[in-house]
Amino acid sequence: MATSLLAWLIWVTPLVGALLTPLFAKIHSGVRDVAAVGFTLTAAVLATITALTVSAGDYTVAWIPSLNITAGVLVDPLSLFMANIVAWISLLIMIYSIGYMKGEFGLTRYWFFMNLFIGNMLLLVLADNLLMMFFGWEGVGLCSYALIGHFYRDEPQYWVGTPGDKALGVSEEYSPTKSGMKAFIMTRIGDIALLIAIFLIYAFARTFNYNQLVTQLGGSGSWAANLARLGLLLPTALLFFGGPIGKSAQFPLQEWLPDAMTGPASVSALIHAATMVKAGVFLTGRMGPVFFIALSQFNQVPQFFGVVAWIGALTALLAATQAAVAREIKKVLAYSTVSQIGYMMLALGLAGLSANFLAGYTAGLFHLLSHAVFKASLFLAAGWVLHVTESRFMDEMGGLAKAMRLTSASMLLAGLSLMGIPLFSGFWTKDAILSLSFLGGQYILYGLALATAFITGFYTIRMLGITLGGKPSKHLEELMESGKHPHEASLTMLIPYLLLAVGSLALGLSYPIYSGPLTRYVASNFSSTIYALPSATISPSGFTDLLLLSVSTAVAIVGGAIAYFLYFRKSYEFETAMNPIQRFFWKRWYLDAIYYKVFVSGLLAASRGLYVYVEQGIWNRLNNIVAKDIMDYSRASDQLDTQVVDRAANEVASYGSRLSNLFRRLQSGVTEQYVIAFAIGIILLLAYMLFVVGAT
Amino acid sequence: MSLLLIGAIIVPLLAIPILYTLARRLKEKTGFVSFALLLIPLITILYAALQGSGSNQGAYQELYSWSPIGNFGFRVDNLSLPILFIISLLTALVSLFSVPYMRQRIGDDPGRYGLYYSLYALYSLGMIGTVLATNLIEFYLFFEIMLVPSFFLIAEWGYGEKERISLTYFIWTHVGALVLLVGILVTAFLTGATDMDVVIGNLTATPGLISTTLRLGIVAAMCFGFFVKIGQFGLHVWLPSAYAEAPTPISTILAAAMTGIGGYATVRIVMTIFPQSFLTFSAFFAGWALITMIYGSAMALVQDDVKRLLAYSSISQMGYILFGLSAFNSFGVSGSMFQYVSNGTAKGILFIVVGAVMLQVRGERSLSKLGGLAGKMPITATAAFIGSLTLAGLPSTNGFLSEFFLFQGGFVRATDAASEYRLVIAVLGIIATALTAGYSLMAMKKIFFGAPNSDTSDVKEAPWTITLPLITLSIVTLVLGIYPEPILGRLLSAARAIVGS
Repeated sequence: MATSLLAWLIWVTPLVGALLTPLFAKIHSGVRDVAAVGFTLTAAVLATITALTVSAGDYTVAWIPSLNITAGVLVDPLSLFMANIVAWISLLIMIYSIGYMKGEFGLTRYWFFMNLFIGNMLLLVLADNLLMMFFGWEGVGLCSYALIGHFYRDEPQYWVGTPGDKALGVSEEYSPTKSGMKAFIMTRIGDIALLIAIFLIYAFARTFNYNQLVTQLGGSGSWAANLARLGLLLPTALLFFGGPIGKSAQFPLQEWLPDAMTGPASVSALIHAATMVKAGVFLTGRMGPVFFIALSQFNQVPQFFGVVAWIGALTALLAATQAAVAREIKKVLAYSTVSQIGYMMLALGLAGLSANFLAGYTAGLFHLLSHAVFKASLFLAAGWVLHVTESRFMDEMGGLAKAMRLTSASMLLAGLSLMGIPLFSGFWTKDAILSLSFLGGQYILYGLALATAFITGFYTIRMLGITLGGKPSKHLEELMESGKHPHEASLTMLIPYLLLAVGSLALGLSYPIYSGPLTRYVASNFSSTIYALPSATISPSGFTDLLLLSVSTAVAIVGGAIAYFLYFRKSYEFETAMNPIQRFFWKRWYLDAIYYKVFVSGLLAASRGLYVYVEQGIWNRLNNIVAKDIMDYSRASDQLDTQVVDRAANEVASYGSRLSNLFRRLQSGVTEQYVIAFAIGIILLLAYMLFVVGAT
Repeated sequence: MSLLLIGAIIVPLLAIPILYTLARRLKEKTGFVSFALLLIPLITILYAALQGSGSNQGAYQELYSWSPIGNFGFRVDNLSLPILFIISLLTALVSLFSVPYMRQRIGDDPGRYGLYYSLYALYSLGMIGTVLATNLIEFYLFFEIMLVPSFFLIAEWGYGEKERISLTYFIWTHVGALVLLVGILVTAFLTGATDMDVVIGNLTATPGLISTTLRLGIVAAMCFGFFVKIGQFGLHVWLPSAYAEAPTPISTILAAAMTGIGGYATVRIVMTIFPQSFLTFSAFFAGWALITMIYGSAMALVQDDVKRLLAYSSISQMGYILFGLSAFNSFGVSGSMFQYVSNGTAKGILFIVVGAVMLQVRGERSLSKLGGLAGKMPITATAAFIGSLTLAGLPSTNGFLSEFFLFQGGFVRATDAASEYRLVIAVLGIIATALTAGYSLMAMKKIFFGAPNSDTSDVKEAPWTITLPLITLSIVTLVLGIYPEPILGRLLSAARAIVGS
């Protein structure tokens, strides 16, 4: 028990840190900042110590005893793998924040929500049951809402989108509070699906605990069998996946993430690399095997995992096309995240589609790791770029490579990893997914993934070319004339993103060394009794493997090369005139606008119609007629309302404050007489009961 | 013979003349005395519950002979304690909130303060008595006592067409109560008893006392009375105006404490005495509840007057309560009563917030004219945030757990009965929660975010008499949202006794 306390403290520490932030702020702002980082550091250290010392197990305490619901921390390879990624990347982001957020307003709130965010993410990762997980799950949603809308005064410089840009008449510009709300509501739609699935599972399983859900899978009376009997098992699994779709910004709920760029860059990094969007992948990883076992009893595995894989592949491609035409640097990165998470979902789907569950499973998780590292680096570096260029548009940057060598090098390293260039971590993990889809015979999925790889190469180099290459833009030259020259970030900011960029390379270089042990570590989850899964290892022939590697690398390089010639050489001007395909991508496939029209404008119009025609047209009219009749009647008969209501008011007012004798007091209004008479009546009644009749 | 529970009635009763007299001297500061006096029922009720812990259903009761009618009794048990806790806490806290608010509403006239606080004390007496009652006639008396002072409070200090609105309020709920009375009298006549325990005993011993058909009629009559109170769709017409135009402290009590008593009474009386007849109606009620949920939320979505928005939100929330009851299992019923508690804290917070805003921004309550207050009123804004999240059912607030369990009840009912109709209702119901998140966040955005405008640029934080109630309620919300057992455990045990596990 003593050591399991460490596992508990991993998620409790940042939450306590969040609560203490306002207190530290009272002492000194410096104390507050250092303490905030300190709590995250503690969580990170605890996560590592736990991984090294605490034995796997489910450490529970009582929570809602009347329903036998316990709270607990599930220590297993998956939770610790995630917890370590989350905590350590978050730590670097927190360190970066010290420099980056200096002088911004609402800092106490910022640190509060950052630690709350990290704590909730760690909670959702470490929770041993669905209910507790959902606390963390919604907690991260809440924190993202608060942090995306951090600049709640909605000053124009914090908006995203090109001013005046519209799709189907719907504005594509978003203010911080608007995009915060959008993120909250849109992910909430996924969460509702998730909740329905949890309700259905609990209705039969009567437990939320992961281990108990697995152990109760066998037999005809199991929760899965009961759900299947009602034809609800597959729908339950799919609805459950709705939660990850929302949280991880997958099609069709991907639209919130690109606009979530209104928060500070550090927040974007946190959302994209360590918390929030990774939650969906994690949860699919957590419950995917459970559904695999459950569905395999009823031959429904391909349906569920097929949906997962297809949504992943489709999202990957869709988002990549939008990244290829984006104008804002953070939006390129945001679309890129959606696309990369699509890869992870594809991998998890392939786990169920191919003969080898473990291969797809680890491919998804490893890509999560490598993405967390390079994307955090890219966002943090982009944050600095935004800061020095005082613009969010890439066409207002340009030529930064000369002035900011380290930042540029960092962005280049991380970018190459994103492209999947050999030796970088992104290369290995992305290639594992592509190979798996090919070897699993999923050629269409493979084609989609390959096309995505091509576009990824293109948009990465395009982004680097426009911002770092070429000559400084007009905007930048004006800035320089006014004495604001681009320069490197201070060390608290530079070190985090540089470290992450180098880390991405190091992870790639050492991949052959650690991938085996790490796979076995994650696989140890499944060798234990509860998750007995098929884990035959794929051994493709060396030649096929090499061929697949070369193909995926080649397309990324070709994509990059095209972008190089288009954007590194020439200076880039943003053109509103686009060809139809570009326009289609630029308008986000019109999905955002359609959603807005249907779910916001449509809903409001429907509600307004209901209000005007039903509430006011029927009910209020009816009510007014009745009320009027009664009032007319009472006026005619005894002028009830004037007697009781108006007179009371008038009389009290006219007699004023000094009513000295009882007689006049009783005269002061019907209402008062009524109240006094009423009160005396009740007192007499009670007195009668108590003292005359006597208590029984 | 301890006089704990009757004390919870006598104290507000004695408070009436005390407050009335003191107001001459103290004016708006009478609110502090009212606060102190109305804390006493909270304490005695909690103490009584402590006495009752360990007994069956944690019940503690005091019976006073009321011949020939029966016993004039008071009981606190697992079912009523959470409700009483919220009512007595809110009435005490809102006394404080009334101090600055009614100061602005009444001005300098001492007599009017006396009237306000006397009516207020009588109002809280009515609510506490209704929940404590053990006898049907006694229940009816308190149910009506609850109505009368609230009518005068709206009529005297309301806004807009207050006379017409208060009259509509009075007539609707009074007609509802009379129909309820018919149900009560028929039950009493046929079973020969008015004490609820005796009625149940007689019916268990001789089920033939009331025929199945007549039972349905009685349940329909009683439910009509209670559903008017909770403003189910179609019976809700009086509600939006009454809540919106009442003076804000009274809106707070109306929406947070009083409305839900209709739900409590449905459990206490209808479901306890006539469980099978209620079950017969339950599928219909589930559909009705769903319409109310969606309709209320949709109306809230298009309001510009924030008080009216909250009024429609109350209608929607009461739909949740009925939905939980219609599940007719321990999850649904306990979740539903827990929802009373959540709604009490959430609506309590939000109406006080609106009052604070109206007080600080010259009576402004139009969403389109507010904005940018977060920086000006940080405590109020934080409380409003917590209140909105409770309403939206976010984890770590009690609103999440109450909605979670009442919907769990709906799904358990649907799967137990293998009923597609029930499943669809439950699914649509939970989808409707997205609307709640929509309107509550929209209101937050419009009041507190954005840049301050010319009306809101010189605003200051509300006084401590407002922030203290806000902080207290926020703490209650969060504590129960993380550790629900003190409330949920009691409610579950009560629900299991009524509808089985």
